[in-house]
Order: sequence, then C-alpha cells, then structure tokens
Amino acid sequence: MLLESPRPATSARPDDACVRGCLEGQPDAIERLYRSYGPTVHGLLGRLVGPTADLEDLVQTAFERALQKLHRFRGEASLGTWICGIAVHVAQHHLRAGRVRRHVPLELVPETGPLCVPHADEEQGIDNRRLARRLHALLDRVHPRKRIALLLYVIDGRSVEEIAALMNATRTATRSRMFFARRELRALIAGDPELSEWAKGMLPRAAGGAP
Amino acid sequence: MISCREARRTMVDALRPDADEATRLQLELHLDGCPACQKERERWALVGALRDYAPAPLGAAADRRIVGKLVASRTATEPAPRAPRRWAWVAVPAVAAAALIVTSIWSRSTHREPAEGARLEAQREGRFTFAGALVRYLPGTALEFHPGRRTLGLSKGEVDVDVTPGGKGRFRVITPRFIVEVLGTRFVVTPDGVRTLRGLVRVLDRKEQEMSVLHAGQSWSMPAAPIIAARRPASAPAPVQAPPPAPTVAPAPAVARATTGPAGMRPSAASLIARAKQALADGDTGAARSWVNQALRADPVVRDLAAAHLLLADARLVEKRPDEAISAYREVARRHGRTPEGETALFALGQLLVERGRPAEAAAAFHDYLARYPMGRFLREVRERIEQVQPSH
Repeated sequence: MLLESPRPATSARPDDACVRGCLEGQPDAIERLYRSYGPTVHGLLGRLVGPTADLEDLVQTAFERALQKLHRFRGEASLGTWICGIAVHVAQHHLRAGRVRRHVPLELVPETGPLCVPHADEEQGIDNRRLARRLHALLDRVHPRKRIALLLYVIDGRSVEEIAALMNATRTATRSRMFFARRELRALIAGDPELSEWAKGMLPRAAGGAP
Repeated sequence: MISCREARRTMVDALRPDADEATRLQLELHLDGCPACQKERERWALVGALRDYAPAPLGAAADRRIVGKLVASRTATEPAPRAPRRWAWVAVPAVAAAALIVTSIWSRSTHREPAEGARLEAQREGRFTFAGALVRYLPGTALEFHPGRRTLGLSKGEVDVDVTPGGKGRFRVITPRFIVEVLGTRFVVTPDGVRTLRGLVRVLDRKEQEMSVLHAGQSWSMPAAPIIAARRPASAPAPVQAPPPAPTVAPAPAVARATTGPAGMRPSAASLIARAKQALADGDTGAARSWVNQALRADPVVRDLAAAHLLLADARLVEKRPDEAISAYREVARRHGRTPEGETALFALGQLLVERGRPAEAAAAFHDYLARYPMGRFLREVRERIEQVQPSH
C-alpha cells in the first residue's frame, strides 16, 4: 500500500554524504540511495502505471535519471520527494509511449482468427491484481497527465500542492487535470458492465438499493 | 444533508486515505437516501480499491541487477559537457531528421505489433515479426502475445523463433509446462520440447527455476510426467532418481561432462565451459569470457576448445557486436569444421549474414554448409534459408 511515501522515511533517508558519494560515483553510496528509496519508487510507479512487466525497467530508469541529475539537487525538497518527482516523470513518459503504441493499427493475425482480450475469464472471483489491471486498462484511455494527477490525489493521498510540485504544474492546472480525469474515468467505468458487477460485490450495502 | 452534487464531489475526497470522518459520515447519510449516488459510490469504490493493489516486490536478484547497472552506468559515463550554443542551429535540422527516421521506423515496426494479450489460432502455416523476432508457426498453433514483456504464450502447435539480438529484455516463449528464455538466437518450441538452432537458450519451469541450458544443436524434451520442482544446475547431469523422470537433453556433449570434480581438484575445461554457457545465458558476457579464458588454460580437448571459441563468438553476438560475431563464427567454422561446434558456427554465420543484409555471403555460407555437412543438423533450415536469399535457385 501506498502510504509509506518518502516523506516519513526520515530514518532511512540518505544524508548529504550519500548524495556526495553518488555524485562521485561511489558504488556503496549508489546502493545506499537505491536501498533507501527503491521500495518507495517501486510502489509509486506500480500504482501509477499498474501491473506491468516493465516495472523493474522503470525503477531502474528513475534511478538512472536521478543519478544523472543529482548535481541539480539543491535540497529544497527532501531527497525522497525529489526522486519521486523523477519517478512521476518516468511514469508519465512510459504511459505516453504506451498510449502511442495502443493507437497503432493491427495488421497481424486477422488471417487466421479473431483477436480477443484474454484474462477476462482466466480466474474466478475478484482479485486485486486483476481489478487493478482492469482499471488501469481503463485509465490507459485517460491522458497520462490527468491520470497521474488523479492517482496521486486519490490513491497516494497527496495534496494538490504536492502533486503540482511533483508534476511541474500550477495548482490550477493540477485541479483541472484531476477534474477531467475524474469525469473521464467515471464515464469509462459506467460504460463497463463487468466493472459494475465487481463494484456491487465490493459495496454490498449499496448494492441492495436504497432503504 | 448534503446535496447530490456535493456528495459526488465528496466521494472522491472520501477515497483518500486521510479523509476525515465528518466527510465520510455526511456522505453515508446522503447515500442512505439516494440510490443514484449509491451507484456512483460503487464505481468510485472500485478506484479506491486500487489502494489495495501493491506491486509484487522486485526481489533481491532484481535489486542486485538494478544496483549493478546503476553503478556501471555511473562509473562508465561522465556527465556530458554542455554543447556550445553556437551549434544550436545545427541541432534543429538534425533533430528533425532524427524525428523523421524514428517516426518512419516506428510506424513500420509497430504496424506489425499485436496488442497485449492478443491471441492467434493458426489454421495454416505462417510467419510474423514480433518483439524483434521472426516467428514461424505451423497449422494448429495457438499463441498469445505479450509484447510488453517480449513474451509469446504457446499452448499448442509449434513455433520457430528467430530472435534478433539487441532487443530490450529477454525474449520468452511460455508453454503450459515450461518457459524458454533467450537473448538472441533461433530455436523451435513445441509444448513438449525445445530445439536450439543458434545461440543459447535457457529452459525454466513455470516457477522460473532453471531446468536446462541448451547450446545450438541441442534439444530438450519434457516427459509426460510432472516436471521436477527442484532446481538443477544446467551443468549437472540428469538426476538419477526414477520418478519423476527428468527432462532429457540430447545431444549433451559439454554440458553432460560439465560436472566439477571432487573437492580440491582443478575444475575441468568442460565444467568451466558449462559455467561460461550459464553466464552467457544470463547475459553476463564478462563472466562468460572469464570462464572461457579459464577453460582455455585448463588443457581443453579439441571439442572443448571448439565450444570455448563458439562461446566467445556467441558472446559478441550478445554484446550486440554482430560484425565481430560474424568474423568469430567464420573463424570457428574454419578452425573447428570437424566438430559439431564448427557446424553450428557455420550455420550461425549464414543466419547472421542474412540478418545483416548480406545475402550473397549468406548464400555462400549456406552452400558451404551443404557441401561440408550433407547430413547436417540444420539441413532443413539451411535449405529454407537458401530459398529465401536465392529465390530463383
């Protein structure tokens, strides 16, 4: 779950010596940095992009970029917040690339049989991972910037100010993104009958109708 | 009581982990008397359930891998100096040209890429390009595509996969009972076994435990009984216990002889080569070279020497140095022509030349193969390749 965000991780936070060590390319400092913030970045990326086999690559990319830009770290925010900002950009980039891929027409396969979306009937019951995959599939249709803003707000519990800082946006733009993301996601969920069934299972009290 | 409009606005705030009780109570009060908002709440509860999804931890091996790459990238590259601004005008057309090239490559390559989870039930023979690999399939083959993971699911039939080295991540074929994993190679998979035509292939069970490492020319088959669960090093001989039967690897020249001797004895060249194969299958070319060098110092017999040289050629391929790999394969084929490794090298040479867009040289290599190995292991593939590079032949 999310809320071991980097903010409270003060006990494990690498100190200035660690940052200096990373800048000098010291392997133990780099490892310390990764060990301190790796789980946070991994969790954050996992929640933003959903279940994907690319997660390891994304975590690595986030840390690579962090190391490349570490000389720009001024200590104005905590190191964890700064790295999370980079991770958010990595997630955004990844989702944007995926969005482009998804719009590519398909030429393979029709010669032999219809394409179908798997995993719909692979397992019985509601499973978090499956639900996450399904919801993220819907979220794929929301613009990455809007999606990330909404997930950081709802799932990560971050404030609008924090999200704005992480995404290099103004508060107004962040609020606007969240508003549109909410509206689009609501329409998408409403148009998915299977998700509606799942929703009834999740809120049995509400599913029974009004008293 | 709050209005519906207010309730719907509050619903999203109520999902936040730090939502206050007063907000939640107000919302609950409204929901008790408003079926429409209840339905809306159900939908948002789904989104809230995303909080319960935590990605699986990466694991110690992945952490080590990432740290290793971070350290390597940090120590290998110095920060690039800032380019002088007077060259900025050069960058504009360069960027435009690069964008054009990337767009054209992208549009060409992605047109063939199937969607995540797409399925194929082949009625007849065919081929396609997928995640940097040329895949041929037989009639009756059932496939599932996972381009994001470079993975093909094979439930029945047979695929012949030719993976171009240099793609991102490992190419995998997952069958109901085992997994085949490669970096860059060519191999044939059925739900019951694998045959490696070029390069190195790793066979894993469904729990991702390694079961075998196959060099070019080797094949591996899964028995009808359930697979063994225990991890068995690729270099070790098949376990002796009868039930359950172990997967069979044939032929297994260096691999079968790859056991290390009793404690205190110097490892044999064969065992060192087996370790090199293992390292290369893991993508660690540095370690593979190190093992090969040790093997070369351990008085290798002719066959081990050939295997060592072939591994060095394979390492160049894994390192994305195809031109050097071509020279190395050529040398192995010339020098060790009487060994199976020499035969493999000649076939690999032809394949690689085809991939590098040198059809005339490839055809010469394949004709050379036919002349030298008229009953060779890759006869069928060589004939097919000759047809491809010399259709009128």
